[in-house]
Amino acid sequence: MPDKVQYSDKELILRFQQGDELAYVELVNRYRDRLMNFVFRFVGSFEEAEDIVQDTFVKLYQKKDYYRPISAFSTWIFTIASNLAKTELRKRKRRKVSYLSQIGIEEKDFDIPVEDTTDEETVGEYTESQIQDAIQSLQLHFRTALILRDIEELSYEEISKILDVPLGTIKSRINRARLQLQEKLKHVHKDRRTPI
Amino acid sequence: MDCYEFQDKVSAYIEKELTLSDVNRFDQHLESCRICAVAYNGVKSAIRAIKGSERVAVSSGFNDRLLGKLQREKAKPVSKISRLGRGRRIFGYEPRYAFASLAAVALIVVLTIGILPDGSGKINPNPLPLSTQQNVNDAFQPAMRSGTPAAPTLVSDELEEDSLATPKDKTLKTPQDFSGKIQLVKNKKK
Repeated sequence: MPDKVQYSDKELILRFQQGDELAYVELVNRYRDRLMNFVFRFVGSFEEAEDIVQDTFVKLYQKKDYYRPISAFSTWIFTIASNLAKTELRKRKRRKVSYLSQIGIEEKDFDIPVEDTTDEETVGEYTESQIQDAIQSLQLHFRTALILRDIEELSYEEISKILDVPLGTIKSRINRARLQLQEKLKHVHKDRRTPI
Repeated sequence: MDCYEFQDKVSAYIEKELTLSDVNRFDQHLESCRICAVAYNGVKSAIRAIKGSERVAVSSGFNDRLLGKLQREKAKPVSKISRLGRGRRIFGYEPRYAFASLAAVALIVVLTIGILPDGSGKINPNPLPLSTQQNVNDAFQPAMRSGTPAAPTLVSDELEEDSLATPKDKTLKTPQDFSGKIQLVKNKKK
């Protein structure tokens, strides 16, 4: 069987800019899962993450001519997704504030449901939800940098471009994010050892 | 190396970005400080955990839903300016900003011309309509000629009255009208 011609991301976006919609479909297929994983780690909700990824591709369709081949396509698409995810989190924060202001003080007393993690898959020493909770509890700027580096495995330079933050700051954020994450996961260990 | 420096350089050490001399200092601290050794192992284990965590993928039917969304977006009405500016730039700006800037410049030009009607380059301190200014000048003329100072209240009263009048009354007054009224007031004062 003859080898299929593989187009690079840049070639695909240039073709799409010239009107080839199949190139757009190929870009969607190439990036949908990577973006989904990134956005899900970012916002923590599957449905919201999928909506954001869809919006990212709608933006790609509408603003294709704004892409300039001076930077990597992956940097550009991750920037769009990251900005949309941040906007979503800001909206969520506003919704939460207005909801809490609408309900009475007595109603605010509620129990946090305890998740049953007995059937959950474990990654080494931790369960998936423990890892996700630890990531979610990081501050937004630490979380974004950490996900892009350790989950999406992008280079420091790419992360610096995506977040529009100096390289040194990115390195420092990632280091601090890792230290905070190990602290949070350390508590998971302690909690596990504590007898009930 | 102290604990603060050690913690600052944990990631650089793991990613092999430290100089050899820093690596040696880091190793020495790692062997001598139990707290930092625990933190170092914790960071390594955290990185391993998130790197090995399950990857999330889009649900089935994602592309179909995206297609539907794109079609809905396409069906949305697009303003003329947005349509004009699709993928284009005017003076290096997005069309809406370029049009807004042009409108602002046009407004400034119109206002400037309104303030400087004679084109002399001097700022007119009294930006009243030309016809009104003409009337005021005409009203002053006879009084100045006769050498008696004009009563400023009279003219301002007249103007106020004029400005409050109905559109019907707002007809151009001839210089004679004003001079007659000035004469009347002079007689009253006497």
